[in-house]
Formats: sequence, structure tokens, C-alpha cells
Amino acid sequence: MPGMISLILKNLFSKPVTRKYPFEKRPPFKTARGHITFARMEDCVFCGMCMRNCPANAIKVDKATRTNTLEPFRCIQCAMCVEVCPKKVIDVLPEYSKPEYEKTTLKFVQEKKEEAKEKKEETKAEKEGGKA
Amino acid sequence: MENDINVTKENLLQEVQKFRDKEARFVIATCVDLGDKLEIIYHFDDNLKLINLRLQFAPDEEIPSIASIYPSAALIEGEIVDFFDAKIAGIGHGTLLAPDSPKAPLRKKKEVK
Amino acid sequence: MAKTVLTFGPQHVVFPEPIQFKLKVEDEFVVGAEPVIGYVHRGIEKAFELNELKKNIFLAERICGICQTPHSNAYVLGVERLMGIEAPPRAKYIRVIMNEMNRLHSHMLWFGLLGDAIGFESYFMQVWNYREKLMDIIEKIAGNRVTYSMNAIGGVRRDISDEQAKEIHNVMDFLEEAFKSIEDVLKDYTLIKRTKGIGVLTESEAKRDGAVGPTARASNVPYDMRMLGYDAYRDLEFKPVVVDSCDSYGRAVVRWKEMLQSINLIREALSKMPVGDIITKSNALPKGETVIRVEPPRGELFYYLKGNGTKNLERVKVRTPTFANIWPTITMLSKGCEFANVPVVVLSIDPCISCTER
Repeated sequence: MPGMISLILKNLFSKPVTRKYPFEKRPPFKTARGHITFARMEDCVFCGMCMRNCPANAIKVDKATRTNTLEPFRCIQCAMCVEVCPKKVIDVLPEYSKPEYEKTTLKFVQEKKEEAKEKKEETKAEKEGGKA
Repeated sequence: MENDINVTKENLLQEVQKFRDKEARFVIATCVDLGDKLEIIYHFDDNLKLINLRLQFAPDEEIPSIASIYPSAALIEGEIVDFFDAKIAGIGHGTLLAPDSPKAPLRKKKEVK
Repeated sequence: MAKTVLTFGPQHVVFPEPIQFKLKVEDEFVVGAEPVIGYVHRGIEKAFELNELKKNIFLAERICGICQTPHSNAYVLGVERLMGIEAPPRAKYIRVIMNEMNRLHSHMLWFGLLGDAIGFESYFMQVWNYREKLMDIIEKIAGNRVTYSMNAIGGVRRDISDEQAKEIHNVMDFLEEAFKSIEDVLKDYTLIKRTKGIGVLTESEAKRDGAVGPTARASNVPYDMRMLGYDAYRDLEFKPVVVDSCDSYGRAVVRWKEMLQSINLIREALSKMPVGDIITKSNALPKGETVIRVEPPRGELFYYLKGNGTKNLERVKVRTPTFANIWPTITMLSKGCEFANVPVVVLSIDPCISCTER
């Protein structure tokens, strides 16, 4: 009986262990695997390694239209695409994706060809200048 | 694999009775589809050493059940009958698959070219 | 004497997963039982043959929700043996640390369910509160609370840094202090009355029916696959925990002692861990047959793998510990168990039905 009284008093005067969720959120840990995004599309060469290594078939790579399609509701956040990409285009970020009413699809498009051609001519001129 | 013994369906029950007398533990039975024959491997554990009995038979032959010696083998033999459509004495369909499931799903299908 | 057949399950307040037992009842005592399984069968053994080698690691992890790491560990050990490669020493120690943390979280989950089954709700909430600290450190190391995805063919994918090792030591000290409250509950009059002498499985019955895990170790039968010495277990001091009371109370005591043993194994592994690589790369293709046995929290897990020199495996067979523990449950229930004690008996083997039916 005396043990119970001290327990009752301790529980009456201490804070609850649960958080009041929508008003107080815990910040995510830095190393968590939350969601996947194509962060640096300008470096992508459309080799297709991410599409071949995805266990859930959530990525589609289209070289003709220079578009990568990601279905976030099929993705299992395993981060295999991040490991196998040779140009390090894909990032895994720690925030979990929110629930939605419909299944969406995300499209990532590479920028226009004229800017890429200009860069190629600049580097060619530098190389010829260096050889001569 | 090491520690393999080949048996036929006639001396299967004799060999299994030897393990029961030694108080070995029945681990599980694995069934593999070799194309024209089926093979069941019975695994036994005797003081952390694994010993395997291999039995090969044609898909429409009937083989005896070892549930009379080791009663816990009835569950795994029911699963082999469901997945591979093998014929084991005294074991019927319906342990794991519903009646409207595809028939013998783990058998390798012959490709039509 | 008139006999009735009552069905127990598939939906029941005590089970987290569906399984049905048809019980033959005479007055108030159970005299026979028959299991009916197949409610959550997903066809995973067929899916293993259709996927490539590297993608199967993620499939093996999703067979069970509580013991994922031993499943992917066993698959990866089997493929490495068929390819003829071995993981570097630091990767083996990291695998041991993740396996032992998995065992801790699973046994704490079971103690909560035991409290819930006998009506001690506040104990259930306390134990799961202590478990949250462990889940936080696991999320910092592996990236996710439930599917760790740490194993890869030839090693592991992520490393444990020095700050993370210090945090693991802090969490182990906190848990050792918290487990003193579990020891007090095991000496409590109500829990002893509800579990001592219930669900008796003698030593010869455990050997005949093929019981594994804490169900067998509480009946004086010392089966533990960590004695085979896979990964880094051969370098650590390890002896299986054996108790000879043969009832549900003995199984609770075995799990509590294993939790203390896991804390010591994690501390020893962290102090002995060598420096070096964490993965061995190889392009070999698997060929031949092999059998791998590891020890998840519930018993002995058995994987049979057959490769034929291509990127797809020919046959994968998985036998989980609850599949082997179903027949001992039938033996325990048929001995005249009272009807109100059936949930406690079935829960004492720690059933995981999605593992059983794959």
C-alpha cells in the first residue's frame, strides 16, 4: 500500500509521455530515408541504371523526351537508385511524404538542348586552344 | 550437399524410423521440380548436424507419408500436395490454398514456342 | 459425455494476426484441437523465382514485420556461399549488432502483449514506452524503424560511426535500468497464478514434435542456432539460456534472461569491432545447393537455396519458427486446458502468422 501511494503521486504530478501531435511535431532525423527526388537533372545521361535496379518498378526513364517519371506511391524508399546512379542525380531526403487523396505521378524534365550545345562548343574550343 | 542419403519409396519408412530411435529432430521437407521428376528432401537435425534424405519419383506415383512416425509432418506434406500436386497417402488438398486458386502453382510450366 | 466444437479465431482480441483453431470442448476443458491456416498466404516462394538476385533481399525482408533482419541475413549468407565470397570482418560485427537489437525490440513487444492478454494494460503501455528509445536509435542508424535494409550481398550498406556507437551505449544503460521493473512484475502474485502450470510441454514431447526457440529452451532442450557460429558469433562468448520449468512462466523467464544477454552481446561486439571495409564486390553467379540456419527471436529459421548459374534462383524454400511450433501448441491444448487459458497458451509460443504462411 505505501508503494502505491508514492506511485500515484509521481504519476499525478509528471508530464505525459505523448506529444500533442498536429500542434507539436518531432523534427526528422538526418539519416532517415523519407522520400526520393531527382535533384540534379542537368547531369542525367539517361543510362537507365535506376530503372533496372528498382525493386518496385517505380521509375521510368525516357531518353527521347528527356523525362524521368517517378511514382511515389510505388516507391519503398530503399535508396538503391541513389547507390547505383553513376552521375549522382538522385537524393534521399529525411521528410516522410504526406498522405493524399489520389495516386500522383511526378515528372522531372531535363532543360533545353541549346544550353547543352553551347557548353559543348565552349569545352571543344578550350581543348583545341590547349593542344595548339 | 554433405550428409546426403538416397532412399526409394520402399525403404523410406525404415530409414525414418532409425532417426526416430536416435531421437533426432525433424526439421522440414523441401520439394524441388526437376523437370520430368519431383524430388523431396527430408531434413533431420541430430545434435546440430544436418542430415538429408533424398527421394525422387514421377509426378503421378503415390508415396507413403511419414506422419505416422513424426506427427508434425502432416502440415508440410499438405503444403507439398497443394503446391506441386504430388500424391501422398492420406493427405488431401486444401491446407494452404483456397479451392479456387490456380492448380499446382510452383510446378515449372513447359513453354510453348 | 457431450462434446462441442468451438472455433477460436481468426479474428480475436488477443492475436495481432489471423489463425483459426477448432477446439473440441467437454464441459469447460479442451480435449482436442485442429489448426486452420491460409488466411494471409501471399505466394512469396513463387515471387523469389521471378525476381533477380539483388531485388530479392527486399522481398525476403518483407516476409515478417517483426523479425526482418534475420530473414535478409539468411538470404544474403546463402547467396554468398553459392557465389564463393565472404563478407569482411567489420560487416560481420555490424550484422550481429543489428540482429541483437532486433531481438531486444521483439522480446519487449512480446512482454507488452503478455500484459495485454492477462489484463495488465498499464504494464503493456510502460514496456512499449521503453521500447521507443530503442526504435529511435535504430532509425538513426538504419534509416527506418521497421525495414532496416542494412544487408547487401557481400557486406552491409551503412556503417556505424563513433557518435552512434556512444549513443548505443547510452541506450543500453537506460534499458538495463528499466528492466528491473520487468523483474518485479515476474515476481508478482497475479502473473504467477495466471502462467505457472499452464501450457505444459515435457522434454520428450518437445523433442518429438520439433519445438524450437524459447518454447524448447523452457523445456530443458538446448537448441540455439547461434552455437553454429555464423557471422561474428564465433568470436563472442555465448551460451544458450535454458530453464526447466516446462510451462508458460518458464518461457517468460527465458525471454527476460535473453534480453539481458543481448545487452551484454551488443556491448562486447562494439568493443571488439575491427576497422576496415564494409563490403566485398563480386560479379560471380550462384550455382549449386545450400542450406542456411539462423536464429531470429522466435526460434530457428531455415533457408534452402538452389542456383543454376543464371541471375535468377531456381528454388527458394523458407521454413519459419512458428511453422515448427504449431504442433507443440496442439499437444499443449489437448491436455485438458481450461477454456479461459487458451489465449495465454497460444501467446506463449510468440506466434507470427505472416511468417508461417509467407
